[in-house]
This record gives sequence, structure tokens and C-alpha cells, in this order.
Amino acid sequence: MNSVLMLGCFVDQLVKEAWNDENGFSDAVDGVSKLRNHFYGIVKFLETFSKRNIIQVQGWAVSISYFDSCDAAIMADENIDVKDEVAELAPFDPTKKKKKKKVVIQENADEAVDSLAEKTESLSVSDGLESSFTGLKKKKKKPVETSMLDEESGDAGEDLDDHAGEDENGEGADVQQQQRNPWDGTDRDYEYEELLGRVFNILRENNPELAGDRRRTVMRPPQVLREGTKKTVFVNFMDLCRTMHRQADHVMAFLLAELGTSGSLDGQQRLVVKGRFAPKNFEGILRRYINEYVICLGCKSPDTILSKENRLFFLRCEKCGSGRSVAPIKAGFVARVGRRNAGT
Amino acid sequence: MSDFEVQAPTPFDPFADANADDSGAGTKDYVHIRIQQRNGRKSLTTVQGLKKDFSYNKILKDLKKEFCCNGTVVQDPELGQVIQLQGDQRKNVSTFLVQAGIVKKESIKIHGF
Repeated sequence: MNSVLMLGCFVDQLVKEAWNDENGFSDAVDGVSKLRNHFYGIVKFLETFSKRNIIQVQGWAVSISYFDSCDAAIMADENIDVKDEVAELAPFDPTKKKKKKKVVIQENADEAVDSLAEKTESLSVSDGLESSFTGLKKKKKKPVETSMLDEESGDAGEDLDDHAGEDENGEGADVQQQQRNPWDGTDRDYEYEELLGRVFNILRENNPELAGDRRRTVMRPPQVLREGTKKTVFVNFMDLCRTMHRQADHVMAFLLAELGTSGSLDGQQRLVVKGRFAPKNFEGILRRYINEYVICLGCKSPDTILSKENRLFFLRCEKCGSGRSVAPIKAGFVARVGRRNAGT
Repeated sequence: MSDFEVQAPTPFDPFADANADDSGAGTKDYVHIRIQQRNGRKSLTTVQGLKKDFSYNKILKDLKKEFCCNGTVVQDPELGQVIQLQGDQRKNVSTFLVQAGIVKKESIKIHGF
């Protein structure tokens, strides 16, 4: 508690300075970040508490309000530091992060508090008070030097997660500002990507059906059961055939030829195949089937019709009208497996 | 005059491939490598559609030696000779055939799961 009090004094002094100064705000922020280098953990504590308005000490009234007012600035400032460290720790994919961010934006404020609280906890719990006096960087390295490997990795992971969470919040604020037009307020040239994004946004707003938001036909994964030990039942075979718009017997012929076994449809229109197969096997074969007999090569659309014209199979695309011939399904060589007859 | 003739591009023969590969069993002369399940976790690998000029027995011998497995050449009434190996050797066979220069990589088709 002593240290907290001390810090309180320090902050108080700082804030007074800030009030007195003309351009005190930025100075104060600087001061805070400096201070953070020394009292990182406690500052976290303070920030958290002041956010939640848990601490209501008289001497601090100013400081608390101060914190509330310039929270955003501090957050941004501190996030730059943190980001660098994260970059050191693990290669982050910026594009990935960006995408995430756009979703997160709304819950920004709530999450900030949460993640901060979380962070404080992790800080204070992992290495008591004294080590949180030493700056964050030292704290980071410390477990690597001293503790066991497994412990360290766990710790690091935890830290990383915290930082990642916090990182998002920090940049979320940025994104909020430049969500509409990234070039707003600046004088720079527009970049192609940005303009492209803008066009698509407008298109999507005005008439969504034109945006080329290619509706993907989603195939459900094959459900496979074992019948006894030697047979496999492909439960949603018919469903998959219907989503592909293909005759069941055509798909079945292909499947059986590829698997090199025999099989049939049972009463509930499920495919029963001899042999033991995993769902993954069926998936791979279906993928190959789709590539060969469903997808249009011109426009990649699965909206095609397979028809038979004088003994040849032709694939005609519904979208772009292109057609192609496809190879007939041939079973190929099937070796004799199992017991031989006595005579032969 | 003679120079001109030399410079003239040789006419493209669209049927060159077809004539050359006519000996194969399939339409496009693919080499099919298939797998077939046996009892338990055992399996067979079959290689079908190699060119007739090759000595199947010699290829088989090398395959057997390379992968440490047994195998035979099966005489099929429709498809001709087929190499049959024990175990799942699809990857092995395809790399072997490509490396030995017996078939091109494009003309190998691996079937099965």
C-alpha cells in the first residue's frame, strides 16, 4: 500500500505540473509514460482502479479525473510500446489483426477495462510487487532466465495473449477514426487497395447482389458410420449429391471406382461401401470429383449440368455457358482380394 | 533458298502425341496408381497403364527392391499387365517412376483416398 501512496503523490505532483503548464497535456502524458517505465505494474493498478472508480482517495481526486479524461491518449501511447515488444516476441500477421479489429470495435471500451484488469492481475500474481517495480521489459526477460522451461512458456503465452488483447483495443481506437476513409485528413495520394475497397463498400451498400460476394456452396462434411467391422455407411451421401446437382449413381460410380471396392445404396438411400474408410477419405475423393465433374473450368462456378450426348459426358456451365467434355468413369484394375475359390 | 527452308517452322503435328502414345490402354495413356484395401490395415497398390515397351518384370524387381515389399505382375484379360505391390506404395511408386524417367509426372494419376 505504501508504494501506491507514494505513487499517488507522484501522480498528483505530475498532474499539478500539467495543470500549471501551458501545453501540459502532452507533457503529462510523457511524464506518465516515463513513470510507467519505473512503476509499470502500479500504474496499471492505478489505471484499472481509477477506471472503475474504486479508489476514491481525496488527494487523488484530481488525478483520477485526469486519468479518465486522457485515457485514450495514454492507451494509444502505451500501445505503441507494447506493440514493439510483441513484434519482438512473435511474428504477428498484421493483416489478420486488422480483420479482427473491425469486428471488435464496438466492444472496445468494455474490453479495455477487462483486459487491463486481467493484465494487472497477471502482473501482480506472477512476480510479486518488487519485480513489478522493475520495468516491463525486465519483467519479461526475468522468467526466461530464472524459471523452468515449461513454466516460462506458459507465462510467455499468457503475456502474449494479454498483449494481443490489449493491442486490439489500442488499434481499435485508430481504426475507429479511419474506418471510413483512410485518407481523411491527410494530403496523400489514394492507394489502389483503398479505392478498391471503397468501391466495393459502396457497391455493397447500394445493391448487395452486384457486389460479387460469391455465395459459396458449402458442402457439409461426409458423415460416416461403421456397419459391423467391414462395411462403411456414408450417411449423407444423397444430401451431398443434391448439393452438387449430380445423379447419385454417377457419384457412386466414381466413389467406388476410386475406393476400389464395391458398394450399394441401402433402403434409406445411404451408401454402403465395403471396407473401412474414414470420413477424410471420402472428403478427398469428393473433392476430386467436384474438381473433375462439377466445377466449371472457366468461371469456377459449381453451377453446372452434366449431360450425356452420344455416349460422351459433357459438362455445361449454367453461369458462363461454357462446356467441356469429361472423362467417363472407369473402374480400372481391381485385384482379387480375399479367399480364392478352391478350383481356380 | 535453302536458308529459308531451314528457318521455316516445322509444321505442328497435332496427332504426334496420340500416335506415340497409342500403345497405351487408356484413352490418354495415364498411368493409374490405385490402392485397394485388404483385410485389416493391409492394402495393395496396383500400377496400370505403363507402356508396353517396358519390361514389367524388371520394373517390378526394382520396385520390390526399392520399397522392400513383395509384388507380382498380374495378367488381366482387358487391361493387360498390371504391377501389383504389397502395401500402400502410391507415393513411392509415383516418385520412383518419375525419377527413373519411365513416365512423366503429368501422366500419373493416383487414385484412392
